Amino acid sequence: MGEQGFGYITDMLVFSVLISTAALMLTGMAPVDPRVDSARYASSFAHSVLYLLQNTSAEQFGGFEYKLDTEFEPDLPVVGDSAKRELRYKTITQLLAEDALLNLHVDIKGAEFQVRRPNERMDEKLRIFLKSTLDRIIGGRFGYRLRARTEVADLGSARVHFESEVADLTRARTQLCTETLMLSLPVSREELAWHIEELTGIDPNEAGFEIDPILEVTLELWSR
Amino acid sequence: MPFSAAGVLIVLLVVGMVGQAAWVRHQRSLSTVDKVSDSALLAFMVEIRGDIKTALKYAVYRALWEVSKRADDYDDVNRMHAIEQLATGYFAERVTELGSWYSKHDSRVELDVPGLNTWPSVNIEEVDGGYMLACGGLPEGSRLRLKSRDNSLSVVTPLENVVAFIDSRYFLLQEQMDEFVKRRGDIATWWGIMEYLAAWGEAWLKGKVDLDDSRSRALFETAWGIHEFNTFGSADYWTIAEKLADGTGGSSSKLAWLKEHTVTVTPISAVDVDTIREYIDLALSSLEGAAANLKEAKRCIRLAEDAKASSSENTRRMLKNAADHVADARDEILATKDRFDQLLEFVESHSSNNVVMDALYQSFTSRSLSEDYPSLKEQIELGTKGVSAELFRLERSIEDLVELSKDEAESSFSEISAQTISSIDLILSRSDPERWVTFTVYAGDPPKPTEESIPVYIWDESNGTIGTLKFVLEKAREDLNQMKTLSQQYEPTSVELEIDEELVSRLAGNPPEFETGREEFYELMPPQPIHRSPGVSVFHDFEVKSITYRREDPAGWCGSPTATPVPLWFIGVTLWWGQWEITLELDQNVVEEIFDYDNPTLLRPYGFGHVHKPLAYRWEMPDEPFSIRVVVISLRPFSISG
Repeated sequence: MGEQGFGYITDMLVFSVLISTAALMLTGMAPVDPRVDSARYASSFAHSVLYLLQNTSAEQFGGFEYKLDTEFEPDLPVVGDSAKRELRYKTITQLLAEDALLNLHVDIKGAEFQVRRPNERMDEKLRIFLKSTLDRIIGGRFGYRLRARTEVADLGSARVHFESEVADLTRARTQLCTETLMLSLPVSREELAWHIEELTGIDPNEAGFEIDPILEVTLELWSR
Repeated sequence: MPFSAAGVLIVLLVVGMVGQAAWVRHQRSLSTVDKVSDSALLAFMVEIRGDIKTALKYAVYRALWEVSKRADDYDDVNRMHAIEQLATGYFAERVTELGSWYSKHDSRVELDVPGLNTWPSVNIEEVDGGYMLACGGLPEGSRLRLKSRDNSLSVVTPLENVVAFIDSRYFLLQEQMDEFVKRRGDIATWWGIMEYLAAWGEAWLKGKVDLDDSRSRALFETAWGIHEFNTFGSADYWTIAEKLADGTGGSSSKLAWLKEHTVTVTPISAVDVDTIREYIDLALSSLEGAAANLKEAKRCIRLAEDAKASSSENTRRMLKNAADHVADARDEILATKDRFDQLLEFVESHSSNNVVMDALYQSFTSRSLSEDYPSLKEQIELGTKGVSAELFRLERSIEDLVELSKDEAESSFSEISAQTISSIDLILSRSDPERWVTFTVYAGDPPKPTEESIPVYIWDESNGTIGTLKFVLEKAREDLNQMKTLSQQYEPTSVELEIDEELVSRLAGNPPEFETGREEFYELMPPQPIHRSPGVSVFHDFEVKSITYRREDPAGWCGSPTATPVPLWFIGVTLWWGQWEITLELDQNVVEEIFDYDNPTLLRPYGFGHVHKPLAYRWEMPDEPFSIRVVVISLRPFSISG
């Protein structure tokens, strides 16, 4: 084999390397990013879920009920189902907004202040109800996390807020979208101020704090 | 190196293609993000509309609560207007508030709503089940403006009507309360029946009626509960049980008393009286038969007398006929006695479980009016026995005439036949009373006790004639008619006295003790309705201010503690008539309130927060007195005290 032969082999090898590189580059090229498509689908799906939560009564998902906790006032005699609260015609977002109002959290010096209230069980029951409802709507298509939260009312020594979360992130890999729904709390600003004052002993108006009576409901969808 | 050069060219080409593809993908991603952003904006718009719809719902909740809590301030139409007006105000306030809340929370949202004065009224209409549909409009020019995050897109949409389903059965509560108020006269009816029951039992069984204030209160409270139960399918059973437990006995014993009397009260039955009358009619018809036979016998004797001169055979035949008619008349008299005995058997057979029939039997068979006044049984027995004996003697006289007809002794025949005809006339006639018995009766206006003498028609066998027997039986029938008329006029039937078992069992329960106000407690924990449908809880609050009793029978007017006697001589019965009016006055602020137990949906302030409460419909009743009249007619004497 002479020099010419060696040059020929080298030329073929370089050609092979270049062709392989080009092929590799072509392999990675796709006109559409599949992640964007998934995100788009997830976003649209999340809106549909939020729309459904806002427009479907609890009855259509098996009904929602809870019992008033009467231990906060031991003198109250409870007979039969008097303490039962069946809210079958309320929409799920109405239930969320009412739960937020009825179960506002109070933090004093960074620790949660335990307030005994008659509607405590609603919070827990609603989380269970929401979980089963979202499981039914979303099924196994996505992992999800639904958060409902209000702005923190920082009154100096006390902080009042609401936060609730239900999630199923089993086998979840990537977050695809986050969609938010704004809900107003079901009372007027004055009533809410009174409510907060009853809970904390601090009048938010006098404390110069402007309450934001909006509940943000955020739905995250995750790929599986 | 031609291959290497070609390879480089290919690589450059591929790099170009990849670059192009990346650019295209980037552009598409940007476009996708824009589309997602646009659709998010539209979804946001729909969500805010949904929130406005919810705002309408809470505005109507609030208006409903406030108006229904003083429902009696309005008629149905004005009440609806008041709810619509209030709801409009609250909705306007809230939507205006929402605008500022949204803007502060998220600067992309602007809700432009013109001033509060231009808001169209909320309209409310009834839907199935007594629920409500509210339609709220926003003022003309109301707009919702949304911007995308990068301000590249802005959407403006006019806001028009929103419709919200209100999950409170206002219309059902209104309809039920209207029914309760419209028919509150039923309370007095039920109360009257129970007072009658109580008095009837005491009059018949104890011979003394106590006009007892505490019992009347308990009965009135129960009557109120029965009316509630009949209207709402439930009652304020805790309150009633508590009131029944006040005083002696406790609620269960008072209820047992009620149930017992529901079973034992069997007023004079018109059917029974009619049957007794039928036996009397049969006895009278037998008497008519006897009278007809005697008249025929009389005619035969006269014909025999006429035939005496011409044919003794004809005379004997006529006399034989006369004797046969007298024998038939005697059979009819015996039949009369049999009919009357059947009457007594009928009454006796019903007297073992019926105090009225027992008293009637005693009256028919013993000297109940006075020792000097023979019973109807005695009179009928003596009368029929006397008439039978007379008829037997008559038969003997006619046999004598047959013997005489064989002789020529014209004068003896005429004399005996005249005596026989005279005897027949005497048997057919009604004898005048020769004995009189004195009684006290109440007569005049105002009534006064006066002595009255009553004739006795049959006191031994010698007074027994067909005419007298007929007179006595006809008068007995008249007395029975009078008794039936009085009974039908005043006495209720036992069917009306049934009280629902479920209600009775609730009233017999132990009511809880209320530390807080009872009305506030019911708002929070409405008692479970007795009937599942329509699912309404009931509350009432009233206090009895006074109860007055006023006697209205003549003896009562005269201040006598005994009932007024109404003697029915011919059947030996004295009807003891007691009549009094009871007037019950209630304290002011009589409250009737019902709760939509099945829908505890309204958020209301409670303690240091809010709770879900059912819609309450509260009615303050006018403080009109309740007045009833109790009439007790007994065949046994009784007194009335109180």
